Amino acid sequence: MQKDFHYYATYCAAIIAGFSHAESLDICYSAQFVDLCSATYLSGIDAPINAATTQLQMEMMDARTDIIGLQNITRIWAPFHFLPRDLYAKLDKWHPKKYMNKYRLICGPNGSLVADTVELAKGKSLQSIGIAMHVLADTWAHMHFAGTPSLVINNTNKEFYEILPDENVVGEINNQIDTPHNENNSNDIRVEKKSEIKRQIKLRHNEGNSNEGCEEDSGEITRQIKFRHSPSAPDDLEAGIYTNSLFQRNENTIMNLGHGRAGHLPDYSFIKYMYLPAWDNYKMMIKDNPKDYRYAFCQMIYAMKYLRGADHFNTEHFETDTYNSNGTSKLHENADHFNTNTYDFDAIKAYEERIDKIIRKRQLIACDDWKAFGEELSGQTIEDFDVNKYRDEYVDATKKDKSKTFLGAFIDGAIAHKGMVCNKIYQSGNKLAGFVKGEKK
Amino acid sequence: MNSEIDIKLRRYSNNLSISGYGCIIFGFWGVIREVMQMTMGDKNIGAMVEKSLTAEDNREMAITITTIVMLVLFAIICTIHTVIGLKAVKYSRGYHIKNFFYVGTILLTLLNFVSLIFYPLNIKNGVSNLSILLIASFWVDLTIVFILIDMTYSAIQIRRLIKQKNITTNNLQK
Repeated sequence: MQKDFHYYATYCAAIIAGFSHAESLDICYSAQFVDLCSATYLSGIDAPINAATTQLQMEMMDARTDIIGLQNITRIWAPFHFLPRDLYAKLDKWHPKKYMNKYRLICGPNGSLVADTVELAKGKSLQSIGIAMHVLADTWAHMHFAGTPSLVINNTNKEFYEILPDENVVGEINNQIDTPHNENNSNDIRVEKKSEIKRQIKLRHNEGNSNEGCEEDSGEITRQIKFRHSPSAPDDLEAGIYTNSLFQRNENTIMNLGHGRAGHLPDYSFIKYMYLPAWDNYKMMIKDNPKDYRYAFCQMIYAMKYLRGADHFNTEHFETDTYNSNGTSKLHENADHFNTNTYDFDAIKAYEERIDKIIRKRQLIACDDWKAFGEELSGQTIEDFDVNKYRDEYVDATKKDKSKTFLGAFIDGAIAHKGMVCNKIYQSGNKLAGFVKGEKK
Repeated sequence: MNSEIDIKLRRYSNNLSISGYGCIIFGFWGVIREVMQMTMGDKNIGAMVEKSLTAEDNREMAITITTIVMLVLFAIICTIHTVIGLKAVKYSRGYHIKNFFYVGTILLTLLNFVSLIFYPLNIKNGVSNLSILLIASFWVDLTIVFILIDMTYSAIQIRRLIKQKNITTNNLQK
């Protein structure tokens, strides 16, 4: 996810969950800071670099990809951005241990590690809550990719299609088919040739009772996405041209880390697409970001209400997929624990349409919309994110007081979270994340 | 989208694409190997031509003609591998191909398979005199045969699955 969700949407969720404006700012700042706290930044403020929660592009270019280098990479990306869903996942057919280790790092929401992440933040600082919210949100956006360099898990190919609602596209494209090609056409959708248009359009209809990527009778269409490797050029939403990482055959190259092969598509809230993941035996996968982002938002609200404490925690209004065999909800039995598959849809009922509009708006980044929404919710101004806001406080503090600073609390939270996740990965028999000291219980 | 036919189609298309590229690469490799052997190996063109020359024959002319004939042959072999490989890749991407492709693929597979039979004939005076080059060459040729078999099988399967899919789609539309 991007700054729009990690900073502004997290702020909105925190306000809805009942945190004050100041508390929400601390939480959302920490959530966004996870994407910026690199080893370079930490060494610049003389902070422990094992608290790094991300890697800059320049750092990744210099990263080794031997076993030690891979462990260093996985130790950062898997805990903070690609939290594994099931460390003990099994497959029907036998696969080598080397493959299974990577398969088990595939990210997804509602795994046991998400619950552990939220539980770890219970009773801790607002910074720890922010870190937990970042991790939780990313499990929805980055699902089906792994936080370790792996061609056999993270690769994609040309079978990559955007699913578009037909009222936005079909009419305009059909007009283009029927009218002569006009070089000076100023329509948003650029179309080169009549045959090219027809090739791009694949009209989807429901087959039987399946709902494979398309809403019933809506006539959603798919458009093949074109990828290019041009990091400086912005993604062209109208033409469906996006930037992704270069294809490299080497299994452990940094180009095959995370969702690089899918570009920024997982981070765009508006987009619904289908593609062929490398690990799913030639099955096409549909990723419905609008739906997933909504779930992420509601789960964040639930999580933050839980983290605020039992007094503010009313379990009656949460929807959950977790039921006992006699039909009673497990939620009410486990009110003292964070439950996965649980979302506070009730809390957003008054804002449903507004949130849906922000999520589905076709734009590269939705900061302005989320910011406006957040300021309406709290009645306060949300200051712009400044990565150096708390830098001087940390640098000027004495050694024993560093933990009491904002960044000090963030660093403690990051080390604790990293230690917890990496140790869980290690305990599952997977050495890809190595072993990390510093887990605080 | 994820019916059994669709999944199998994707799998075999992927196999066919990889095999197609393999066919092209190994076609070039086979030619390079023979050229290297004939120019730098102990069985070079000069040695081959010498055996069939008489005292009156012009040695240089014979070598030149033999070289030209060999190069033409190599070019034909390379072209056949490339054409068939490219057709395979094209078919894997959904384009229509003619039946000549299946005939060509099967013939090429058979020819390469037959060439494997000559390897045992090269073993003289027992296995202990086998050269490493011969063993390596055998394994490479075996790989080529495997690639061609896979290519043929994948192409046939894709054709069968497309027919099956068209029948299924027609039945649904009725």
